[in-house]
Amino acid sequence: MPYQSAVTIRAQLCPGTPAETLHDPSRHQSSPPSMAIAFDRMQNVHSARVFMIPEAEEPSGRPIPASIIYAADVDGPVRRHLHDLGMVCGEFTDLIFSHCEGYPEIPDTRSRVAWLRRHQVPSSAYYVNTVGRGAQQIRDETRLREALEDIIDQRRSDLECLPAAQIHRILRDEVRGRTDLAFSGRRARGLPPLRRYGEMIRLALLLLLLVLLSPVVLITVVIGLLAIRWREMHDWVSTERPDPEAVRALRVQEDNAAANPFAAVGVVKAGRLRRTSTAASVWAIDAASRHLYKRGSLTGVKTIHFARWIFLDEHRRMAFLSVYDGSLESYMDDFIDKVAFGLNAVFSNGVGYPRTRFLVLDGARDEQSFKNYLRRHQEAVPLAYSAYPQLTAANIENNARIREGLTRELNDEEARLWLARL
Amino acid sequence: MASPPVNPSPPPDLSDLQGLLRSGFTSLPYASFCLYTVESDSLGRAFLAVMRPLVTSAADRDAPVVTQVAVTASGLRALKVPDDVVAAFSLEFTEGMTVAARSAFLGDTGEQGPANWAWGGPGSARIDVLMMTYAASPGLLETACGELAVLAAAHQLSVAAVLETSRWSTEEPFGFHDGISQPRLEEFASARPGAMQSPFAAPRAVALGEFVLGYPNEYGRLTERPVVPQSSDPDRLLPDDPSGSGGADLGRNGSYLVLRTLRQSVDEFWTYARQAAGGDPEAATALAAKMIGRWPSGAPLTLSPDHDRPELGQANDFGYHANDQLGLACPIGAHVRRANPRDSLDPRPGSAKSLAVTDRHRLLRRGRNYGPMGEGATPGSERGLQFVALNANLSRQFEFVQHSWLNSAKFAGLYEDVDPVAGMRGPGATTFTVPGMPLRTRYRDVPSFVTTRGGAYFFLPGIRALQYLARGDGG
Repeated sequence: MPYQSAVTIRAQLCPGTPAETLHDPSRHQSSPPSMAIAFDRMQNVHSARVFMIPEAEEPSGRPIPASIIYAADVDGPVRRHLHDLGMVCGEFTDLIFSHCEGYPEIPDTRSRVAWLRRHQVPSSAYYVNTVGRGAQQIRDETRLREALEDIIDQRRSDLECLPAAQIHRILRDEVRGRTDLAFSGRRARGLPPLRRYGEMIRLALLLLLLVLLSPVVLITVVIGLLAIRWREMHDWVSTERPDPEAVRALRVQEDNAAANPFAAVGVVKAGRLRRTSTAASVWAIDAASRHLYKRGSLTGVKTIHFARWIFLDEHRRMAFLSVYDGSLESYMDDFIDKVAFGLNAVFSNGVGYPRTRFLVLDGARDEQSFKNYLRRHQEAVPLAYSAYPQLTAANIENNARIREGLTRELNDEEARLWLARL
Repeated sequence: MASPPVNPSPPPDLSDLQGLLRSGFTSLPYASFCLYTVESDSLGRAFLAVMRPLVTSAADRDAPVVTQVAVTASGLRALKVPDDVVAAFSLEFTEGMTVAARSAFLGDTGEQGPANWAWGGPGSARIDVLMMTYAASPGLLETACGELAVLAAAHQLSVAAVLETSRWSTEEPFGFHDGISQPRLEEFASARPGAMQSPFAAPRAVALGEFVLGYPNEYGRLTERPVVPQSSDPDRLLPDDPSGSGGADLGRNGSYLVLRTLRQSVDEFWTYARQAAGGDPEAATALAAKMIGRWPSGAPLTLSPDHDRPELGQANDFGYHANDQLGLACPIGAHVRRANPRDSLDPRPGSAKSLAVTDRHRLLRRGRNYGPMGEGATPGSERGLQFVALNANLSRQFEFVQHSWLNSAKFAGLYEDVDPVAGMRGPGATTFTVPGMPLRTRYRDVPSFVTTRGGAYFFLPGIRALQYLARGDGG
């Protein structure tokens, strides 16, 4: 049924607010459960996080004040989520933004929502692991799998001597008969037809435009790449290692659930050329995510639940936020092994990034420099919420296929493969 | 420091490598590992200087007694190695195995936590230096260790722990043939002509730089390692940094050594297998084999799913995706399938790319058993493995394998499974699933059979680097 939206709110901290406001351990202790309680009331949130981007300085010397970022992956329109933040989770919203500039003194739903609207930041690219799979569907299918596993454990002696197709039928009838699992007889709905057609038309127009403009695009890309190649040879490359203290602080907050939030902020290299190549790369990633990589794999990486690229400070900085499975080490390895190309296209426009060739070659393949670069640009995420913290993307996909297999008759061979998912 | 790509690999200077990188000295069946605390920096350095000529290099293949030396980060500090030199090593090494975030990452928590360790934990003596002694006979070992003890005492090295090992055996304490699959290093291949003759022994060739610092790794790069200014090496003991930074390469020909004492609860393991299998001894062996992934002879379940076939004891030429995608022969969560998933992981299981990803997470295993073996073992006797592994990148190799493969409940699409043999149990991670047709069998609340009793990260220096460390800053 639902489509997924990226919600991002960014607000400046009032001058003089202690930097520990969000990082205070005592708050950290109490906040995650309260965030879970508040957010579990909303049925359409997949994940959410709050973190701070500390004060920084532009190359020109102009200060950029510290700001708070709230980011969420939700089903349905952004405005509905903002309304929920104002009403259902009003107290939580007050808690995180009360130190921000212009936040209402005596907040109510209306004033909160109005303020949140004013502080929205659009995502320039958004990747969703499986477009159209809602949080409620994921929760339902989790219960479904657990119920099936329990039935197999309880009744295995009756079942194991039967042919696979018959076991499948028995299991199917059993869960269909339960009111809380009756949905298992129906297919998951996916995107609403109108939106699906809309996306197809969008893709068709995009391709048409690309074909029509191909001579111009081709020439621009070639000239752009040559110009970038020249600069790549002279761009400053950071060889700095991350501060051990900072890495320690980051590690404490990592790996607390099956999936982890990642956040990094970097400065875009100066000049119109770099700004254009960043925008073009991000645009291409968005188009590819939206039309090509929407069913469980981002060029072979199957462990990313959500990812977004956001421009900040009039395109002078960029933030990358994602939710990924496993350790950061394995995530970075996946980057290098499977998506170095696309990653380089965007991040090599960041100041200090490992040296690339023609925007997309090398770069992240310099393993250690790349890992150091990510670590040095990473922001700690002290508050995070997941609607299904115990599930990896692989688990979610498997659960969905289990459900899918219950919606139809299976022959013996199909039933055997279906049973292997349990 | 990291560095630009380097082509083709220069041949290693065998006389500068400690021999352990080349072999596990299996022709020397007796070994003892001694851990020391350095009490005096100058005497500690003098000790290294005395030991250096006794250290067996990879060029020396026939020594009846072998000595190897490794140092922890605290050892480097105790030897008064300058702070900036220590800081040039990898963060995993300089922080050590037992900082809180790392313990959580490695699964060294609760009962398995460093606070309960016999050595290496916060409550026991600081571990600075590791001396490994191997010998052809018990008498030779005793003599060598006796001499070492005298030298160590004379240089104010106090004994923090002595880790005894049992006579070399291919069988680990649970009763399974161990150590079959090791990465192959082309550079050492000439060492043992004929050793690769078996039709099944086809270990993967992995880049030398995955295990020895200063050589190209699987990415064609030089792994991060300590490079020091030439000014700190006036005698030019160290080789030049091959990446051309102009510095001296303290890491070159060295490696990071992981040492962990893993107690194996052998009786509990077999009691569990018997009970879970319904009391039948043959079914118990079959279940134990499912947990390990190989039969007692070493025959892989992937090639022989139903019974042991000793003639396949050394078999290593198989893939999981190619032969057994669903885990019907060797369960997805079995120990050997986690420790070396071969061709079974993304991207595109079964492809060369999948194998290449696995190649970046390999370890050279050099462990030895401890405690009574075979007939000598009585119920309850303390035994297990002195786990020794060598790698160039602790984070990408040892820690990754431990965290993301052995201990991950989510490994390869699983939900709440652990490595049934070696994995850390935790909430939502105590299950072992044996895939089957038509139905899988779930073993829930599988108890823990392996307990970590101690551990530390060491730097196994090249022999010239050892001389550099022995020389000290003051000359």
